[in-house]
Amino acid sequence: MAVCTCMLIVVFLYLFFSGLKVNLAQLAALPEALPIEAQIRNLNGTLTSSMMIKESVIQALEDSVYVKDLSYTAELAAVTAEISEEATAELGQGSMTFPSCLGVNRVDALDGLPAEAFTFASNANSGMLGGAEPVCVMRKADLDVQGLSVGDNIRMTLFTITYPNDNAMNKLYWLGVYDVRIIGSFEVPVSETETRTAQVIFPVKWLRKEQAKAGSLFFADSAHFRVANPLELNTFKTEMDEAGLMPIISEANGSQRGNALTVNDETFIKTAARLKENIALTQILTPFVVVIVGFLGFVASYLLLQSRRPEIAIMRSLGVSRRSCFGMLLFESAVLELSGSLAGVAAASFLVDMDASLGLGVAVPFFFVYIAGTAVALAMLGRFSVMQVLTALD
Amino acid sequence: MDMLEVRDVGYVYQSKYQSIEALKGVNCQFAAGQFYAVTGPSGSGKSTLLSLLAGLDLPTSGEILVEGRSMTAMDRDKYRRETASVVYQSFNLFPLLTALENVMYPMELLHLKKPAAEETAKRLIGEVGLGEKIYRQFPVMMSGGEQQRVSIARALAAGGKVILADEPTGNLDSANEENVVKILKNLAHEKGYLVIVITHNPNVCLEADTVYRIRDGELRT
Repeated sequence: MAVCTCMLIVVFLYLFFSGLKVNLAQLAALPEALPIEAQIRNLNGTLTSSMMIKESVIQALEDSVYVKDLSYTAELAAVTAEISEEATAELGQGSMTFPSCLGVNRVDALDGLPAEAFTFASNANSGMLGGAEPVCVMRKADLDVQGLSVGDNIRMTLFTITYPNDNAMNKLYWLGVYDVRIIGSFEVPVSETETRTAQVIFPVKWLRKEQAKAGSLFFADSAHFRVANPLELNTFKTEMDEAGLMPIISEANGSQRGNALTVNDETFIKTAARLKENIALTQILTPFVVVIVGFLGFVASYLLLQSRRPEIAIMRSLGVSRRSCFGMLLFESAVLELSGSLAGVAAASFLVDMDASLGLGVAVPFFFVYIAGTAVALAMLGRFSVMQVLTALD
Repeated sequence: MDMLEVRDVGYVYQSKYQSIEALKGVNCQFAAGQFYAVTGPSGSGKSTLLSLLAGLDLPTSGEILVEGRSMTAMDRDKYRRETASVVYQSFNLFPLLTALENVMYPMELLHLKKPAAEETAKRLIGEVGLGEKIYRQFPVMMSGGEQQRVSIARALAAGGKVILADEPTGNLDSANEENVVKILKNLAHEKGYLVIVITHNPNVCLEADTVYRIRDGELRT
């Protein structure tokens, strides 16, 4: 009876606190399980690339503790000939050898172009695209057309592309003539329609460095990232607001300026809110549960000992001292309680995952409450009349 | 010297609402080797006197002497373990212990080694007229007469020389009643025990060497 009572109470407590612990763990794991993707768009939300995102915005994202896995690109064009800055005015994008080039800060910056699509030279790796060296990765088809191989150096004149007039018309700006080493190639997956294609990919940090040297302004054309600490979304949004990124305004014109931020946080917020509600409810109930269950343990222990009054009376009548009776029954009660608690933790671990620290956290305090009930019951029993109990049975 | 002496003993049950004077200036002596009966109507104070003689309670006034020593100054638990044992009307055996274990229990309290305790328990069970088949039986499996005899064996187990019995024949048929009285009488006369029996039963009184009658808390011979 005592073992069963303790077992049931411990199972209940274990399940109750296990639920709380699981909810807390789920909330802590939510940012990984439901990552919040954020993307910079133009103000009316129609563009996700070919925009003009100020370097200050990119710098703010790079500096922010709320931003992780930032990927951004910059558009540019290249020609294999050496062209002077003065001759640029006569050139359009159509006259470029590589009209579609991108600067990237990491190899996975291009949606739909998986890491497996890239092949690097033996002395190079994908990390070099995150560096600031004059290297590039070229589309395989373009390598073949140019009769080039991975490892070759290629002399190119690079042009940055911007959209100065809010009319989707781009403008080329001469950046310089560079000898660039081809460190790898990539193939665009045939089945992939979502791939943002580029012919040559450069490390964007190198481009930023060169633009800074040339005194020209750097603009990224796309940027997306994950929110590093989604549980502090409000602080993150305030920081983004201060960086000049606004929510989408659907009525705004479709300019190329990338100054709106979309955050896919709806699912996260709903899930987190539900978990937080559950946690709050459990935490509100915790003191009541602890008091009620503690009281149950106390009463169970008290009643079980009350039912043993005759047995205690016989022991007293046979000369067992009050102290020995107390010690014997307390020890017996402790053994029964521990057996019940162990059985309870074992039974509960069949229902939910075993957690030794939770088992101890539940069983140890309950042990003391139960033993306190036993001690009080024994103290009260110590005052009864042995003769009355034993003759009442007659 | 008397084994037990009751000197001007009074006892008052004090409750929240009333106080009842259960014993009033009781004086009596009990000698070893004698079989005493204390009789009287219900509520007269018989069981209270037994309770005081067993050291389960202390008198409100007066004193009880055990071989000349006041019980008030004694370790009364030790007195019950080593000197006086009580036999009850409803036997009061431990329900989860066998007959043998019940009889061994007082010896275990005296830290007697188990083989010696078992041997003594078997001898005592034999002395109260029970056979080996009772050893492994639990109280619920025994008749009233058997339970009472096991309870007498348990009373003898500690080796004390005082047996106090509260209506020991109250739950027994006449054959068992006769048997139990005979055992108690033999213990007094042949083995030198002081046996005090609280009883309503006139047959028991007839067998006693001395009969004390209690009425309204007062004792008469």
